[in-house]
Amino acid sequence: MIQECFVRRVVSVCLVFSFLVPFFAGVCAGFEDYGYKKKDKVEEERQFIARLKEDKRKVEIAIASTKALIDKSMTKPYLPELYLRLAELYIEKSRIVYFIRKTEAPSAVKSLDYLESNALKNQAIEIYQRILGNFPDFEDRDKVHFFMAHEYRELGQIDEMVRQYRAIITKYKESHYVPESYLLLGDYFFNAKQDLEMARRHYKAVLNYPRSSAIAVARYKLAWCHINKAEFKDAIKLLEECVTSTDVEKLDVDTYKKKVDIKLEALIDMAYCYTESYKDKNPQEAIAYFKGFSWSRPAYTAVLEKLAYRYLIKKKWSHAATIYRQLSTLQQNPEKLLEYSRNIFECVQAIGTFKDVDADVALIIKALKRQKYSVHIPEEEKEKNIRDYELYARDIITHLHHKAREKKSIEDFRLAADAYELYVGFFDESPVLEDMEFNYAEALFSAQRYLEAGKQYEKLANRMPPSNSQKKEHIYSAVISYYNALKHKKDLNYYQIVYARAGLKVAGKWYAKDFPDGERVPEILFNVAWVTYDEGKHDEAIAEFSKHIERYPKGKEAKVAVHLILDAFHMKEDYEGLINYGQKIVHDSRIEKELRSEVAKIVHAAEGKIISSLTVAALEDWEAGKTGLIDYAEQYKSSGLGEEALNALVVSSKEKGDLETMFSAGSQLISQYPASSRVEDTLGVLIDSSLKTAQFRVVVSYLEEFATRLPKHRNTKEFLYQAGHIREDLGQYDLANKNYQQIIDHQRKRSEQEQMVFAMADNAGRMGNIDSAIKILKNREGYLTTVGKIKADARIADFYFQKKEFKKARKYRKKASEAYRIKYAKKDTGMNDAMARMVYNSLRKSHVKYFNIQLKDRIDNKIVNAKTKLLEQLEKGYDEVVKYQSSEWALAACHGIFEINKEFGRFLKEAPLPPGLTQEQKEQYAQILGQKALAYEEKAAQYLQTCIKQANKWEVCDPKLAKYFIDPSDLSGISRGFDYFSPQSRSVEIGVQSLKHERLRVLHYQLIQDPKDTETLAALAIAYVEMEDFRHSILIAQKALEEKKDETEPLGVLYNTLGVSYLYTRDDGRAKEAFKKALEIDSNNIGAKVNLAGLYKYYGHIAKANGIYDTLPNGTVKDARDLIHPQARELYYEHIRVSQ
Amino acid sequence: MNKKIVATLFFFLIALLPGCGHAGQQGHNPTEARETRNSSSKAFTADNDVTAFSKGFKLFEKERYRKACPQLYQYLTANSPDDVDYEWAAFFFGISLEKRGFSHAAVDILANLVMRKPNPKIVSYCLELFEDISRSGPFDKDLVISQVICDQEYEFAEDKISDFVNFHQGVFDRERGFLEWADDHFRKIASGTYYYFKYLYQEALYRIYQDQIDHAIGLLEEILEATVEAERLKDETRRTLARLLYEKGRFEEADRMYRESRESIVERGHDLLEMAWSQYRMKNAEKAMGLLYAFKAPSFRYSFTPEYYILKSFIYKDVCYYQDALDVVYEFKERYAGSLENVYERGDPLDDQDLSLVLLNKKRIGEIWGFLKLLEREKARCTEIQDKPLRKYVENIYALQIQESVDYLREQIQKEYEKIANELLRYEEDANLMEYEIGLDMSQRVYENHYSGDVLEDKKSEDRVVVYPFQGEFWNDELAGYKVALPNKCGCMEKWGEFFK
Repeated sequence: MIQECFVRRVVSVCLVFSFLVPFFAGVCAGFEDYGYKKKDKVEEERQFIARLKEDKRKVEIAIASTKALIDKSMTKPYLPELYLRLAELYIEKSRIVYFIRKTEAPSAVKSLDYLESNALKNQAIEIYQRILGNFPDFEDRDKVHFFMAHEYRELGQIDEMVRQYRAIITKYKESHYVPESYLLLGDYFFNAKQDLEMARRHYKAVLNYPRSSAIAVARYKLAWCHINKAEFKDAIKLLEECVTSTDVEKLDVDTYKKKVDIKLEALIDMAYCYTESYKDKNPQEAIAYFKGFSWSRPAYTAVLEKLAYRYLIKKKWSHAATIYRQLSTLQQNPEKLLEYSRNIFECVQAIGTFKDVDADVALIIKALKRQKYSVHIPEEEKEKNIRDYELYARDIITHLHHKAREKKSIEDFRLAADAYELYVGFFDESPVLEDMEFNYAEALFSAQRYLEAGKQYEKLANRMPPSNSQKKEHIYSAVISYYNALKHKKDLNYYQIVYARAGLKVAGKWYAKDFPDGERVPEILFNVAWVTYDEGKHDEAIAEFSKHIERYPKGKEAKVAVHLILDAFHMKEDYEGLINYGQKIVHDSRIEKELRSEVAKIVHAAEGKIISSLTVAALEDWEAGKTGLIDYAEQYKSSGLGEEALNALVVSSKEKGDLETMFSAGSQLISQYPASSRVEDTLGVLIDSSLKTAQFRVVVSYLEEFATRLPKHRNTKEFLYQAGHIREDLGQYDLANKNYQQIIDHQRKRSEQEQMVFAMADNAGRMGNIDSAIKILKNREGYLTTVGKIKADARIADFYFQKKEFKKARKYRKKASEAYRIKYAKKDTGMNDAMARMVYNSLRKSHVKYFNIQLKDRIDNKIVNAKTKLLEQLEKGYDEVVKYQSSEWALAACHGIFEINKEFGRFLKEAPLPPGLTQEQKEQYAQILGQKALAYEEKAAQYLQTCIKQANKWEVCDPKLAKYFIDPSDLSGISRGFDYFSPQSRSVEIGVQSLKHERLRVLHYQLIQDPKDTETLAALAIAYVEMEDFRHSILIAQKALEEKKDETEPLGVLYNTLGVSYLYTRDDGRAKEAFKKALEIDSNNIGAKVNLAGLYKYYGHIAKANGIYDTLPNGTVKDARDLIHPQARELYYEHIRVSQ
Repeated sequence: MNKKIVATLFFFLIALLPGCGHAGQQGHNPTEARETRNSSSKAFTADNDVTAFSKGFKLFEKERYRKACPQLYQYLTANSPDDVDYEWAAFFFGISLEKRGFSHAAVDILANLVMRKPNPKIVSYCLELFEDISRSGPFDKDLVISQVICDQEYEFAEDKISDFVNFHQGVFDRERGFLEWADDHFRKIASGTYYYFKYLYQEALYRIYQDQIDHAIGLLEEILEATVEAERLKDETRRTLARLLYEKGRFEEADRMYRESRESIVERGHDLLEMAWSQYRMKNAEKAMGLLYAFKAPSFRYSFTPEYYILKSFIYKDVCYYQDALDVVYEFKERYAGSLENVYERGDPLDDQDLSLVLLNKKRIGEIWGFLKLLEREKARCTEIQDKPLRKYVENIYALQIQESVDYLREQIQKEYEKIANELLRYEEDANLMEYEIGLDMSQRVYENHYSGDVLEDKKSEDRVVVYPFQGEFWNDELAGYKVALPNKCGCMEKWGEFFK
């Protein structure tokens, strides 16, 4: 069923189709009818002749009927027109007859054939003449002349023709045939007569008829007149007008109609004139000129062809070549392109610059390609063209290449390379292809197009068998090219960089494999490794460089290789790797010493980087990070890393305020790495930190360490000086002297030395080392000032007196005394002290002697005189002491005078009576002596009172002086064993352990945050007192007082603390001053009051003591939190008990 | 396109390498054929030269082109071009070949004929044929457009042919800087015709080149308003207009342009990517992602480019799908690992299937490739020609053209490969940067959230389409309309911890 339906449907479709076929066939035929008709030449000719004969028959009929009409119209006004029509019919018949004859016998037209035609023309002429003769009023006579002239020309009767045209010009001035007549006459003179002047005059005459369509031709012809007279400028102007004028559009001159494209002709002829008129114009100007006058690409092409050829003829090579190049962009026809190429080649060879060689070769190849792939060009022609043009191309490229080499011109190399590229891409069967490819590679390289050069060299090498000697050079050239390409990486894109890298590696390895003994192998392998490095493949680069160094440790690339390996490690941030590798190099004796030293520095820097990272980690998580650094320092003990780790630990612990770690690490660093460059900074940190935290015992040790490590450092002297001072304050006189000694050993300035010299001498004295003190003073005498010398001599004298070397003592006393001037005291108050001491002590021997001079059982005048004399001497001596105005010694001298006078009074009173005296005499004698003795005793008492008075006035709190004003009546001397206020206490020295005591630790840590925090300092000073390191307490308190001087609360406490410390250190005088200062600042300071009152009481200044006690309300002392010396507290309570 | 294409391409380029047989060396032309025929007259079955044309013409008239061809060819080989019927014989020969499906051979013969300037009637017919071929499929553009159409004047041409000639000559002149002459040609094109709109398109491109974008947009819009049947031109216009609108930030209009294209979406892989960019720029991340999702359809397997990955990872990153963004980067690296390796090892472009396919999507290469396929197809039909000399002759036409096209294709592939390899390497770097930026972005957001104190709610998607509701089925009419739900995850950090481990 389905099948049946299908068949039916097909049949019906076929029926419909067959029905429609005629219709569609018609349509299709119309569409497919291409208009071709089979040509039968004989039949066509036959038909043509038949048609002509038919035409002839029709013309003859027309002639006959015209004649008949003429006959009937002899009197009619239109008769001349009928004659004119008849003449035209004869002309038409003449034409037909000519064609019949010509078609029937095409091989040769004989003169006979013209006979009938010419006869008919003559008949026409006769009719024209008849019109002119018979119809003088005929309005178209000018036309008759014009037609007649035309026929005369056809018949070769030129003179007659001229006459007719002249007749029009002269007789019918208004006729529109006049300009055309001028034109045709111009042509006559131009062509037949070659009379340029006449021709020019006639053509020019046409220009007077601007409405005439002949003007365009006339202008063109006139231009040619100028051309023939070599007046090119005039000519080109006219030609330009021809091209730009719209006249040419309406050209309606029978002679020229549809025969000539005046505009195009004029444009093309301009090319000729241009080369003559504008000789100085360059080719670009020429191109612009003609582009301006051209109205289409074909017109432009036509004129440029003419122009190019003109230049070629005139051997203006550059111009011609440029125009041909321009033409090659306009034309696509391969034959034309080849023609242009050939001409360009000729020009280029003549010019010899080859600057457009790339474009020229491209042109050749464009043309040849079009032929090569065309089936319409014979093979032999293709082959010939390829052969010929290959030579052209090769010639110009190699010439340019040669010139580029000579001039070393990169630009020329670039052009040559471009041209070579085209050449080798097309002439792949060239007999010199290999040479040209090599040239191409070389040109690329010289043109600095390294990547392409590499590719080309690689390609060349690839094609060569291993035996070829050039292969080695080619591979090497490829390597160098790729290397250079990578050196100018900024000129490459991503792909090119990747390509160059891979190229260098491949070519490099290839070279090394094929020529393992080649002298360039090390350099090449180095570059292979370098490129791996350049790619950022650090591990591979390290491996390759390492291999290279292993193989060529002394090679010139080794140094760079080592550096690049280190850099690769650096880029990876693998500092351990860097250090390990660096260490290996440092210890590799095969490597240059200088390089090893450089590496050592780098390793050192790397170590710093590791530590930096550890430090950063430590700062983020201090406990863990600190441990890491400590472990690291331990792990790399005695290596640079260990040193760096310790340094980092110092720095970061400082940052974190971890004093224990800082001191510990700092100390380790200094001791483990004494030569480290970090020592200075580390000690600086330690000094600074310990100073900030008021750890003076620690500070002083670091200051001394600094001096030991860096004896020549600019700060060393100052540090030693400070250390000396601190040591002195700490009571460590020997250590203080050591520091001073170090300074003095290198000190040159007197002013700076003097203070230390006396300090040292005093310290030695304090230690009971008199010899040393004398030695110090003597040795440095030469460096002392005048005042210093006096003082030194006085001190020496005093020391000698102490040593009982009186002779020497006197010598120095004499020196001092002679040199002494009172005015010097202003410069140095210590001088008077020294002088007073010297004089006082020098008297001690006489003083003792004086007391030893005693009468025994009888009066001995000698003895009396001696004692009296000595009394005078002593008094004089003590007076001298007093004059020096040194309070301490004045008091002692006063007391001395008191003693000697009292003694003398006793001496007198107890003197034995002379023998033989009566009782009365005895009484009288005793009375006299008593009176005399009383005078001495009164004098003595007077001095004693002065002494006591001054002592009270000065509030003397000095056990050495106490004897002079406390219970002076006790001549037994018991009271002379007077002691300091504070009993001798144990000496505690808390140094670095301070941080182990919780209380001290907290306070020290507070100070690291704010080193000037007076309250903390005050608390610390108190803490140190309580820990019994009184001297340290004094230093802390002094520091605090230096920091803040204008605040009440902590200052009072500080001074009180200072005073208590002084008490403990048995410096009661300073203690008194401190307490007084405390009360001056804070009159409610209970501690200071109790302490000061106790001190006063102890030294017998009872009234003053009581005065203070009276200001203390009951209970206040018990509750006071102030620091109170136990002795003072005891005295206070004793006072309470007594007063109660 | 598929792997078979690449294999064919590879075959082409290898087979035609120097030394692997040279089609050009078997070169034949009528002159040669004449000699061949003379020397083997026994084998020749056609009639003698005198009657060959008549017979050929009669057969041609009867549309018996297969039989007409040998007769006409015989006439052409036996006679010189100045013979009275030579031009017509060549014309009929060309037309017969075209009728038999040898379009290139026809073009080759007729072009050669036109270049000899035969009678205008023949030229007109030929131009008509060229015009038709130029609009219907691949052809030898250099020969037809450059050498025939643009190298001569065809004042006599009328109507459509005149427009065709003026259009190409105008373009030719404009490309060479002869702007006035170009305009003269363009002015001669009849308004409202196909070539008029082609001209407008060229004019628009020229305006773009001159940075007169608004003017260009106006011209392109005029083309789209035209009623003329030129869908391919209109689609091209829409694409260009969409790109201009995109560049001007008029994303919605650009998107509309892409969507108005009549061309099947399957053929417009790159449009899809550009649409995705538009959506992305309009902050429609979900729509953009939907468009990118469409790329997973088998039709686009070989059409997308590395840019796809970059955009995708951008979108993921913007909504804080960091793992997904990273996955896309890894996917890119995995997808192009082979290509990158080939680039790094300086491999042959044709060894890289992925990039070869991308290369074939390049317009110029695609055109040559299309032309080569046509040549191969037509060349294969040469076996149907029984007349040996004619077969040899026609085969030679194809062999020469294939050789030229293959040379050109190889040259273009090398050039484009270098460009695309460079692009790929750049994308590789971009991918690395993207990886870095993702990490940076994550840490930045962690920081911001940490200090802001507020945990952001997931930004609700407007359209709660299930994420990837597809089951691997792709319907062509839906490809440009997929929507993907991408709730913003920038406020939710619970998953990020793993990145910082």
